[in-house]
Amino acid sequence: MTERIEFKDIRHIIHVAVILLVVIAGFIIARSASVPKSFGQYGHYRGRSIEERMNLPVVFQSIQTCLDCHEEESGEVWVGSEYWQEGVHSVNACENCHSKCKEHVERMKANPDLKEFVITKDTSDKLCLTCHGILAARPKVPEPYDHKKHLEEHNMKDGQRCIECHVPHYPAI
Amino acid sequence: MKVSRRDLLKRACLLVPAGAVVLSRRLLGAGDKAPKKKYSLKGHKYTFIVDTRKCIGCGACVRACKLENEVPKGFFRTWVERYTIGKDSKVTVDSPDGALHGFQELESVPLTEVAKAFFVPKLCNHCSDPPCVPVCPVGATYQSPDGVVLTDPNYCIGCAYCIQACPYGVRFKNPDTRTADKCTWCYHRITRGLLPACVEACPTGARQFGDVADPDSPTAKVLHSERVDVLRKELGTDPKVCYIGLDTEVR
Amino acid sequence: MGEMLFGFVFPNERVYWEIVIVIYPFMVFATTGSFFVSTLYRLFGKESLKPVANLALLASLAFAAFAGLPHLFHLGHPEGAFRIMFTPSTTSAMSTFGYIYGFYLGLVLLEVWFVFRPQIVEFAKAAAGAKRTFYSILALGVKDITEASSLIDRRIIKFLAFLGVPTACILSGYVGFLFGSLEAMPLWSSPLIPVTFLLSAVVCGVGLIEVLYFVVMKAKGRRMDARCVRSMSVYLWSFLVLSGVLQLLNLLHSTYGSRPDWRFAFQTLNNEFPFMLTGLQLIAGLVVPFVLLSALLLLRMKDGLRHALTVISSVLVLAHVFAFLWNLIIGGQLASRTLRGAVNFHPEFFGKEGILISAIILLCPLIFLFVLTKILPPFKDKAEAAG
Ligand code: HEC
Ligand code: HEC
Ligand code: HEC
Ligand code: HEC
Repeated sequence: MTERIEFKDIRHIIHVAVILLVVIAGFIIARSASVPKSFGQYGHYRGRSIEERMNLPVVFQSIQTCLDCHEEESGEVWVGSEYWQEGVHSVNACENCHSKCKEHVERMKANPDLKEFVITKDTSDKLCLTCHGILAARPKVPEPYDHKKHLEEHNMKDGQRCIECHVPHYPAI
Repeated sequence: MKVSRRDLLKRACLLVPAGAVVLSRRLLGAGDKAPKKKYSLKGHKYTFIVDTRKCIGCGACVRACKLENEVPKGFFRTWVERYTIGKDSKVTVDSPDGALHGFQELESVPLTEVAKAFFVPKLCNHCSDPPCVPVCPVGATYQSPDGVVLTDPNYCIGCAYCIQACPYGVRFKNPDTRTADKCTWCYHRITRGLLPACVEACPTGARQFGDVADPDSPTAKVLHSERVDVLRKELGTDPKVCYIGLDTEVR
Repeated sequence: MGEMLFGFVFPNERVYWEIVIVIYPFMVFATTGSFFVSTLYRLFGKESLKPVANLALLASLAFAAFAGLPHLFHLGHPEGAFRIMFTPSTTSAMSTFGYIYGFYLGLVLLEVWFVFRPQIVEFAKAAAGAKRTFYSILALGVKDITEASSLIDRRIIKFLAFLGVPTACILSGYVGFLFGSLEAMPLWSSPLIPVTFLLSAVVCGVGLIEVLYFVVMKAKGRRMDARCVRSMSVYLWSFLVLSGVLQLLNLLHSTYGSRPDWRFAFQTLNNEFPFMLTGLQLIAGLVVPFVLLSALLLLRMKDGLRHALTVISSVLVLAHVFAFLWNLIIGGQLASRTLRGAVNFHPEFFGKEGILISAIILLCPLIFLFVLTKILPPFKDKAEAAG
């Protein structure tokens, strides 16, 4: 068993080694081809993803956007930006009660004379009561309030809706 | 009749004090019209303050968040919990549908039996030492240079390891994108100088957000004048969401 | 949430790791455990295990080949799975696992090739037609075995087995670390978990090989080697005891620990899976095989009965390992982080990560093993039976 090792004795091992090298080389090539360029720009992640996050569209509209166009009072209940800002509800974003605002803004910007609106106007009492109904956990601002009692106090028939007495944009009476 | 109502209104609305919230909003100067100068990733110290004493549990924040970020049904980037502690010291916690539609009166605990009760809004804490980031096998969740913990839906493979690692349960696997998802503090808004959608929607100022690198910012003022706490301090995650008026029952 | 029955859980909490993730460590256990059995013969010279050494080696290859499959079914984006190795995060247990697994798979493959090379070459020379081509390719085109080369091969086989032991240990221990490193999950975050996993892997491997041996011999209509079976039952007994003791230690350590969330989590597990925990993992999977194995080691009995009892114990032990993983992985996710409720879990049958897929995934390595035994017969047929 002390004879010298010849090439034919290790040929199979060389074949195995070649295959291993090919696999490893393939791995390295595949890796360098598929790792995104910006990976590692700031840390162990895709730097571009920060940019992608930043570029997502803004959907929820700020009050100011609405007020820019709705400076003047209009329709039956919109009181104009000055009154709005003085009213107690100025703490509310318009979108808390109106939805599809983004679409509305885009449409109105494109064509201010439109007479058909996508924006919704929720006139239900339910909406008011999500903020004003009585709950044990609810703090005292805004005044938690008992609808039944309220109606009795004001001698009003059942079924009268909040917005029949309160202007949603300027609710204090 | 309606016209007369408005006339009456006009006469009546002389001096209604504007809410402190409006004031603070104006001071922040946040609006779509904020000057569009290039955003720098450096030099920020964002802080989110939740004043549980002011939360009325209306769920406007949850709705705003869902709208802004297209959060799929059944999952939440932010939600509101209600803690009701009875006179018998029994604690009841609930969050019906994450408070997407606000709250109804608790049936199990009648009003007369309640010792104390309060709402606690929850969102990602954007920990300074986040447990979710180091476990990601591919580097698809990270802390941005300005300290916000973000996910990369285009690189995430959806293994849910980060979801398991989060002790606050704020992460979820988005069934639409099949990737990990969570609150980003509306990164696309704050880098444009806007407020996160939930802060914008909150009618009582229970949610406040700002950059405390500027000591004169309203958020810094609150942070420096109020006594604040963070959730599960014992874990050493060092959250950047500070709570005012926490209770030991809150986890 | 409507699906919550009692208490309060955070609205995003679900059982995110489902049955396929239970299957995944089970397959890792199967492969590393089988590898361990084969090295007992090859490296530690346990001659009594010679009859099953080759079968164990093939089984370990079959399970290794499919150990990544459950993960692919679980991932939201399986097409991105390679990112785990392309941009591995050094801080993540999962990406390190990717590399260790890759290394291990290559190692087992090489070991199998070197062990079976004489056979492959023999077939390549003897067979004709397509079969000849096939075996020639398998032989990597080298059809002569010289004395020197077989000496080198034997050394390589030893070396690979030698390298394989720590690799297999790290692999199965690392799966434990994957869970153990999660501070947020009380039932998982324990430094003992990796060791528990390691021992469970050996138990699982010995049990699996015993069952496979039984099945193969039944199919061939041959009798099992009595010395081999006895030897296996000794190993099974020893590692079952070690593994059981360690699980108990882990339990005691945590019970007397101060983590309130652990107590809550364990209670929840106990409430939700009483059968899986007490019935299967503890009694049927641990106590019963312990008693059976002790009996057949201490008492005199006929070979037939002894073999039957060993096989029964092996099946029970496999059930024990499965229940252990089930309780740890699924059970560990039941307790809510609120410590006020339990997350609901209804195993899906047809889902992407459901029962059916899991069963199919578990079948894959068995089918592959069947094919492997056809290509590379682990038992020398008549010749050995006669001798
Ligand atoms: C680009 C200008 C513009 C912006 C910005 C804008 N609007 Fe309007 N909006 C209009 C115009 C013009 C009308 C139609 C004339 C009117 O009633 O004043 C209108 C009408 C409305 C109506 C009445 C729809 C109806 O069915 O009668 C509502 C409600 C409304 N806007 C709400 C909003 C809210 C809330 C915002 C902020 C998200 C907003 N608008 C922003 C231009 C704008
Ligand atoms: C508290 C809820 C609430 C908020 C907050 C609110 N609105 Fe309204 N708004 C209503 C309701 C309810 C109506 C519909 C009243 C009706 O149809 O009788 C309405 C109607 C309107 C109209 C249509 C007026 C008309 O009669 O055609 C305009 C314009 C409008 N809102 C603008 C705004 C703007 C701008 C803001 C934010 C600055 C805002 N609203 C905030 C509840 C709200
Ligand atoms: C998203 C929450 C929200 C909704 C919806 C809402 N409100 Fe309010 N409302 C408030 C808050 C907050 C205040 C108190 C602001 C303050 O005092 O600073 C308030 C104040 C009021 C007040 C004055 C209370 C007082 O103490 O003088 C009235 C009246 C009122 N709302 C009526 C309504 C009506 C009617 C509706 C339905 C159209 C409605 N609100 C919908 C949040 C809401
Ligand atoms: C019949 C008219 C009427 C209706 C309908 C009505 N309110 Fe009022 N509400 C009033 C008047 C008048 C006041 C002023 C009472 C006062 O100052 O004492 C008032 C006061 C309030 C206040 C101030 C708190 C308080 O108790 O003084 C709130 C909040 C309020 N209303 C909410 C609502 C909500 C919400 C609805 C619908 C569910 C509603 N109101 C329906 C007439 C009405």
